[in-house]
Amino acid sequence: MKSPSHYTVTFAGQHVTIEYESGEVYEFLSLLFSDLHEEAAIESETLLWISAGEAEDEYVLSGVGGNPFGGCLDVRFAAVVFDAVIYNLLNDNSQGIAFHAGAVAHEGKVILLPGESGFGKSSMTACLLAAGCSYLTDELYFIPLDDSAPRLSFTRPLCIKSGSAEAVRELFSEDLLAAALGDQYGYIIPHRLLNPEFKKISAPPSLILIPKYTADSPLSIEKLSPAQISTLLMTCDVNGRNLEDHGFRQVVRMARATPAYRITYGSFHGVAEAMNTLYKELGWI
Amino acid sequence: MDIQKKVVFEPGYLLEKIDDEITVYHPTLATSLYLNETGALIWELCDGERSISEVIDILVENYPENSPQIADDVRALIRRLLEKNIAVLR
Repeated sequence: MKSPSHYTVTFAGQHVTIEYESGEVYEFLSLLFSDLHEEAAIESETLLWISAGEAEDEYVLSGVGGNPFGGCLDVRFAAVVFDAVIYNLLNDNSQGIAFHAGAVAHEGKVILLPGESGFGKSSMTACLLAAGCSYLTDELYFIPLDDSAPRLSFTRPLCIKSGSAEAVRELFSEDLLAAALGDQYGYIIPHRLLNPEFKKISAPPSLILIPKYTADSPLSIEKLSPAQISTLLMTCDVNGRNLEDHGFRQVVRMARATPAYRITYGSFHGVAEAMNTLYKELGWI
Repeated sequence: MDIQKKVVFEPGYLLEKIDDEITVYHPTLATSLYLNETGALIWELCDGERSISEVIDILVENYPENSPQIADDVRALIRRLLEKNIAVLR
């Protein structure tokens, strides 16, 4: 029997090691985690296993304390792997506060897109990429307790759920989407297809933009006060329970220091122009 | 709502006043709340000693031009506080 291999994902000082056997799984994990993978051996307990299932092309993801999930290596399987890995990376992390948030950069300035699942952070991230921003993450942004330490983006491929796939197809070329992993569950788009010159940016956010998708809503951008944005950010924290004050003071500091807006949209039409107007207001261009 | 009762906040909440607005977070309840300028004023008047009726009277006296809606605003905010379990009436 072939001996198992191990794939370690590292983020915010925490490691998750996944045990697997097949080359197909390695390729899949590399698609999902290439920017977060440690090549060098790390002393890390194996927390997740991806083993062959009963049917051909079927695999089973299992983990400590979680229910096994079976299926082929598709977009849905990827979503389950992401959830399991992120849970294990952040469950005990008390070194900072992680937010459910997308992040992109415009001319080196970081735009944070916080939002709970379903509010459109991945699709707005995609829209801003199509408008010329560079990619950092569509899922998770980590602010260490030490304000001078680098901010961290969970740089995974851009993950578009089936509900947003049609809208996102308007943004990117057919060739680009053909190179992505796509099925009835959505798309997983390797971010270097969008940003061949990708580089990590660890600067604090220069702008917080709350995406709010509302069907048929006209496009609008409204300024949010520091108290409003603090309150909203506290609904997006992932691991706050590990911190004494759930990260509240840190959130307030960031909210005081960072201009914040809510962008309400029913389609992507006009978003690029509206953002250019906002950049001018902020003195970025 | 019995406006003769007093609003008592659940202990342990964290509060930050920024530019006359308030953000509140309660770690045990894992709930957050935004209060605009009016809401912040009502929060501050609800000191555990004054009844809701007294809070309304103070606001009516100081903001007579807004008196028609003050009682409704106070009740609406207190309902939100009760829904979020951040406060109880005693």
